[in-house]
Amino acid sequence: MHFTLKEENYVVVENGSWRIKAGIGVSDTNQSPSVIISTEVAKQAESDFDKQNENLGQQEISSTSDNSGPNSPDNTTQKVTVKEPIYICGSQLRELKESNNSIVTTFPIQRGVIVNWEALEALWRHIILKELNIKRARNECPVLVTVPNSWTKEHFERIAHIFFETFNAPGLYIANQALMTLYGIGCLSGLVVDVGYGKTEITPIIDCSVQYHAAITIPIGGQDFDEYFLSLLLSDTQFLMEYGETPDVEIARILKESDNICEVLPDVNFIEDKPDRIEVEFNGRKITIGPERFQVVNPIFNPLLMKKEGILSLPEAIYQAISHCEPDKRNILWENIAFTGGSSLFKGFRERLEKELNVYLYSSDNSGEYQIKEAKFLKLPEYFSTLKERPELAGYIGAAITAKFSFPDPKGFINKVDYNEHGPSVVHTKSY
Amino acid sequence: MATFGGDEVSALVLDVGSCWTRAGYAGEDTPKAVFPTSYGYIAEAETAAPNIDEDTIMKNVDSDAPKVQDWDALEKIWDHALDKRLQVDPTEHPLFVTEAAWNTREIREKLTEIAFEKYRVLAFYVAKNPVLSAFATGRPTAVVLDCGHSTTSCVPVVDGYVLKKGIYKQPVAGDFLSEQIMQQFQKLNINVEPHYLIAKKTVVEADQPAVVVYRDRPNTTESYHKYMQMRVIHEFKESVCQVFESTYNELVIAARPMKTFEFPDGFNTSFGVQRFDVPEILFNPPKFIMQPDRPSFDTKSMLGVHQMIYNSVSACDIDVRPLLLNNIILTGGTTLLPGFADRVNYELSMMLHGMKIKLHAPGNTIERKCSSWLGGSILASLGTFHQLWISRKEYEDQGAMIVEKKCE
Repeated sequence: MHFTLKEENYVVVENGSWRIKAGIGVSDTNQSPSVIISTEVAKQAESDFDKQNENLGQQEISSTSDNSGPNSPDNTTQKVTVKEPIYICGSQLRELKESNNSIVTTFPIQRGVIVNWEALEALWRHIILKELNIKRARNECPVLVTVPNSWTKEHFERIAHIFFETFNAPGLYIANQALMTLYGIGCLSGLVVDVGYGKTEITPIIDCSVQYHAAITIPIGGQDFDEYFLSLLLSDTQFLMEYGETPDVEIARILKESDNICEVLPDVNFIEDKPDRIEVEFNGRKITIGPERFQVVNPIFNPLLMKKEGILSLPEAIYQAISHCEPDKRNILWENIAFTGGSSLFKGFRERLEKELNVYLYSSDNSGEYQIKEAKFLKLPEYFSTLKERPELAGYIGAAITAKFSFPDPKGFINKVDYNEHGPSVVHTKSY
Repeated sequence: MATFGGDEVSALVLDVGSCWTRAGYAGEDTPKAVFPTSYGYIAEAETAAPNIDEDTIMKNVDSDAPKVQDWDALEKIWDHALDKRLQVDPTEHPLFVTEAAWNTREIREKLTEIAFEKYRVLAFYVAKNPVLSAFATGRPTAVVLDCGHSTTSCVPVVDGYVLKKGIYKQPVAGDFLSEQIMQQFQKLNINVEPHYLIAKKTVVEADQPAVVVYRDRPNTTESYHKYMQMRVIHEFKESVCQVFESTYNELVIAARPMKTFEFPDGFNTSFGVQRFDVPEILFNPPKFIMQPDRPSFDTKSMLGVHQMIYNSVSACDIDVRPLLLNNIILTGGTTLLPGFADRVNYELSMMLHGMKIKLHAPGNTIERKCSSWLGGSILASLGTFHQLWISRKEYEDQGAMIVEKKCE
């Protein structure tokens, strides 16, 4: 029973600590992911399934590997009662949070590491079966899953198990996120600097080969910028007075992400040209924010600000990652830096990074052959007319391109036949 | 759930060298984590973070000396590798560890004890570095020349077993070369300023003194400063130093093109004869070592690496010698100096007229620097290897002495 897989059915799932981005159909790689949901779930104790939940299908309930206590699914065609934890995610979760402030949520991926497989599987189930509306019974949609550097072969085995058995996918391709970013930009070698929510990953890639031994992960990301910004706001008495109540980390995050508030300056001296406080209208109130709006990303340049010891700063980590690569390849890495990730979008962040990297660069005519003069940053190509201004989607674009080229040929991905023959350990023999 | 057969459970491979520690999963072709085997500590608390700031004091974990100097530090390194970098629970995995060829029984037993008592691993195995390097290149019989950071060693391996009488080692290696380079710089009045001190620099002409604005970094410990200086020297070694392909001849070398190098503070100059001088130490130590300030070894008794290979092979049975000479493996970061392999080939051909000499020097830097890790990864993922592991039950029944029986 082998049907050809059509391009409009290819699914891409990009996993992150803050957001999972997914989409179906890669014919037009110039489109943004149709599903962007936060990597967060809330758990409800028990629930009754009824006929309306056709998407999940009756068999679904017994085939998941969740251990949820004694339950015996009653296999009637009408109604199945199961004592199984139900996870709420996506827009349902958002509504629930707005109505109920004390709801407890879990983040299945923290700092790039999977901490809760059940919740993560529920999230994927929500995306594949509900949001993308794929029917499990006749699933013609192969999936490309992108993963960060830290996920291990054991994780891949479990991912294969989930996608092939629980979702009945016809095919799977597990791809490295940094490599996908480079493909999206159209390069085969370069240094990918991905500033995410929970962590920042610096990955050198040479000729499509990810240099894992040289890759560095810094546990600082958007999460830490939020907390730092909050700590600065809390010590800004004028802001507190105008705002009226004590802000929490959510408020800090919303302010951080709003247009025209936060900015990164190349130098502390540039502050003199900028107004000391700016006026902002927020939640119906007029408030002003002071110079703390320029200091949001300082933790990544100086981790000690957040009392985090033993962590490299971003420029130092970039230098170290490149030093671990072969001397004659270092030029290629310095001249092809892909700066991506949700938290890299601050205005001026790239310029500040360029300036801080100057210490590690050389400028004389007499510099050695492996000593590089200038760091060059990559941009998304012009032909992505809608997406070229959105560098944080480079990974998704690259994944879509890879899906387009891998899924047509059954040998280019892990297909159902391979999985049925070898089981989850097929990821060891057929991986990319 | 955990059977250690087939691909169900991934073994962890941990290779602690004197300069770098490599850790990762068996079956993969590169270690996931590579970090320096040094730890920093701030006066009161000790953190095994290889990434530290200026307030910390750097210390090196000396793990292939006759005794492991600091078992606490070794445990910290293991903690960092397993917990922070690989983020695994050691109780669910078999652990494969490498050791130097000259390790004593006590050290091996202590390693076994730590693995089972502290980390409670599922299974354990210790293998010798040269055997693994030979394995990584697919040769059961070879003579392995390992020019690493702290030690240069030459060990013959026959059918997977180390021939102890052929082991030669000496402390003339990468670290020593770096120190010699420092001394050379001091003679030339070059001051090595590491990156962390530079706030702003300007472009200067060749050989002009640097024009720098320094960062104010009080409380910098001396050992940290030295550690950072060594990084610059390391870069110098990688890009400028070279080994002359035949017997040292000052006139010919002087005619070779010079190579330029710029230091982090902007000072730049060209190096000619000097860049060949330092690597010569590896081939003719008594002549080229300058002002040794290490009282612990006698520079006159140091041998050139080609000499070590010759002695090592000669210590073995006459029947096995041709096989060994046909399989000489170069491994270790210091062997990446350009021209090293050619020179070894030249010197050995001069010493051993007529005998067939074949050198194996992988061109890939990963393979040279991590060859023993690679060998461990291959070995630990083989199906036939699984009956050789020491399981936790065996350790509990028989105690640490089982390591002598099972790990040769």
